[in-house]
Amino acid sequence: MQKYIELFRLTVDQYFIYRINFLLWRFRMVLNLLIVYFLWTAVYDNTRIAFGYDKPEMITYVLLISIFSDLVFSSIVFEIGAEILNGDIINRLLRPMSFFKYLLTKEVADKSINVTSSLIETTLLLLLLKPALVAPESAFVVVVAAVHLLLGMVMAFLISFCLSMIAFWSAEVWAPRFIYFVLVTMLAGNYFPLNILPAPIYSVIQLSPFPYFVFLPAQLLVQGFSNYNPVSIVIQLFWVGILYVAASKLWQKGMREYSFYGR
Amino acid sequence: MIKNLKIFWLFATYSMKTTLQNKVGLVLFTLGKLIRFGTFFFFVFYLLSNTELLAGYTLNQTIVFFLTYNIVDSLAQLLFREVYRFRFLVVSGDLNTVLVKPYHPFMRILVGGIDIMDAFISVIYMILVTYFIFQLPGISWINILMYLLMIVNGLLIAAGFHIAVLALGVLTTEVDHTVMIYRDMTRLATFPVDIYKQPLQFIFTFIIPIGIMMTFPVKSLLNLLSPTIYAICFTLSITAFISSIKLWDYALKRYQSWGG
Amino acid sequence: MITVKNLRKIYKTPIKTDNTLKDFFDRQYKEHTALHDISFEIEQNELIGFIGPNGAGKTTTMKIMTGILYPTAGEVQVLGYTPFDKKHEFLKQIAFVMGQKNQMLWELPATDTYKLNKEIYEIPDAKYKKTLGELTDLLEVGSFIDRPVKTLSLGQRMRVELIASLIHSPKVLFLDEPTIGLDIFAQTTIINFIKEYQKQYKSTVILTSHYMQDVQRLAKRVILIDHGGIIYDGALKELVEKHSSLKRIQVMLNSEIDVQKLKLPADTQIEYQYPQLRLTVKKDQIEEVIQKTLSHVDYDDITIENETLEEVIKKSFKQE
Repeated sequence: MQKYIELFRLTVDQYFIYRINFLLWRFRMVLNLLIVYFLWTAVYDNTRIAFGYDKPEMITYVLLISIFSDLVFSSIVFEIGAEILNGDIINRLLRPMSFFKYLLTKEVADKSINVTSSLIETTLLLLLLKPALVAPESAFVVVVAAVHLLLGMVMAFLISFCLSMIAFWSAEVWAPRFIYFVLVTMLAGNYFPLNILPAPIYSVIQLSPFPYFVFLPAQLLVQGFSNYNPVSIVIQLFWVGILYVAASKLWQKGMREYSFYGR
Repeated sequence: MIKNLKIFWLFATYSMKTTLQNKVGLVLFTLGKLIRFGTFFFFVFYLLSNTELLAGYTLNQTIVFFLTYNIVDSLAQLLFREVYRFRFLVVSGDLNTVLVKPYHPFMRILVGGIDIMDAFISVIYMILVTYFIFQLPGISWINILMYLLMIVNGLLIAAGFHIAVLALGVLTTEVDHTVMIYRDMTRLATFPVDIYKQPLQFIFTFIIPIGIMMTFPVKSLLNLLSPTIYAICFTLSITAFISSIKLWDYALKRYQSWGG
Repeated sequence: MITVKNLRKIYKTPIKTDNTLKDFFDRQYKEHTALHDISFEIEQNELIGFIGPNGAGKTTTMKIMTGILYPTAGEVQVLGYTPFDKKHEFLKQIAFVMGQKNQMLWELPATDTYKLNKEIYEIPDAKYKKTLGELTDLLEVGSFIDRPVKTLSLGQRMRVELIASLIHSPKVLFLDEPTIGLDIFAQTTIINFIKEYQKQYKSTVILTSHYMQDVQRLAKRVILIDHGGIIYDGALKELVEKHSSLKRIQVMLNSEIDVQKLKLPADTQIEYQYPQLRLTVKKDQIEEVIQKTLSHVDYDDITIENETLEEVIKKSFKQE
């Protein structure tokens, strides 16, 4: 256990060594939040209710999404892709430390620090702009939202892991990752709640993994169970299962076929 | 001049050849950009067809704002792509081989890496914007002319910014991501800067002049700018451009290169 | 042709504290004087070597002479121009080759860089073809000139790089560590080429190198630089004569001896470890030492060596 605590500490320390990188990343997140926040504020300038959300609901949604995104999508898993490409992965595996526990520890450290900054930023924004917000319907809603969020984190972790496995067979790891992030930005609900979309489109998206990362938990906290379909949890578990199998299969196959020529 | 055009053309063809060496990556990246644009476009369209107005602008107007942001953004990327690779050139010392050549170093380090992927995407934006501009009522040719002029004006500011990034790269190797800051900031102008409350709106217009770069071209198209504003815009962009050149000259004098 | 007068260069490096904000707004600098008011002149058609340890100021001097760096003080004139102005007429007449620096288009064949340089240096077609043909033959690059530069070996890369730098037939050629990192064959190819090229094109060549053999084989005149100052400027031969006063004798013995019995001159350095006896002696004592030694011992083999150029140079640096 001791070594994982140490690793956690080291990962956090690294952020302070490369603080410029970290600050810039946070800067980008804040700008993102500003764009979405003001976009929706402007929308409510001439209407009280848009797409079934009133202003406090929408603003609460936007702020929650910003925090949840940091929790779900900040990840160090993509580092494995680079390590497979340059051969460093070998050194990792030779250490007397479970590779997956290693990965998980770093992941938790990374998420903690990003969420902490995200919370600080959001608080500052709240203090400056003082928007009206809404509170969740009941404690039970919070629990269900938390379950979805947790499963969302697992899904995001597994997808990033699978995408990194591409490195075993091809140097082209950047482009798929870029496409994944594009899809996440648009389809995970970062700019707008997905249920404002026309019903047919929304139903199709509901079959994909995207609404279960951050949209569903945020929407639950804002709108309660009124628009909630319990099947969601089944679909999400189904995705977690599929992704888990894919991730472990790819990892095993990749390690067997790994030919490192050196670069 | 002819010499510079020839060099520019050679750099462009070489950068094209280089990009084409990795066809899978090229296709995937282009695809990614198009998906991002497509879904965002759909979102703007869908949003405005329901709410009708955004900061006082109609659906078609908002779309023209959105497309103009994309045009200025992708033209700047198309032209100044090489700036993203500048830090490596400084750190490796290869910049020295550029400085001893009888051409303006900007030929290589500013506009020496034309990105064909962005050229392709820019054309799509331009076709779309032409269509939507003609959907707007009461647009005169003067408005269109001013629109184009303001886009050029925006690109001049973008050029100034990229030159300043180069100068910073020469002065210190510590600041690595200045160009990414620029990219992130410009995204604030995806929608007209009118959506921001004061004093943010003022800051995003005149202090960090993304409003002038990306929102004002459309405002001039809609005849919303006064002669005073035009004067301010042109003065600002020319001043920004000249100051960035001055900063570059200053940086060259302070350049320390590497090694003994 | 090249005049350098009281040239001074001071580098400033920021001092980092733990306070990033303070560093950013009120940065403190440490000054490091890389060149202390140095002066020298170089005539046309000279082949001159700059010698000195790492950080002595050789490369800095070259970077100032080519206009890359701005001198803190002093005057530099090359071909009648002030280098830092970067006048195109000036840059067209010089070339700066830096070992392990790359001007080639990495992903593309060398020929593409040549075509680009043809436009940059505005070389007429006929002259371009002629020069390229000659250089291709001299450096024997024909077999790989059409392959992407990134696939070439270090030695091949240096050769295509040299062509790119010489395609405009520069009057003054600056070479900073042109053989660094190369194996002995590639090194020899490059050095022979530079010698040949200088003879053929009558250009002025200024060279720095870690490998004293490079300098020895190329330069008649050398400038020794240390701690930003010139400590010797003159013929290489004189430098060697002035500092090389010692010879080294190495004897392989057949049986053990008592060194004391040889009665060698008092200042002879003796290293004895059977079966090897090594003696370092002054030049004028060499005959005496050999006679005394050989008449007393039973030996298998004997060699007499001059000091290497490295040793001579090291000594001259120490004396300063």
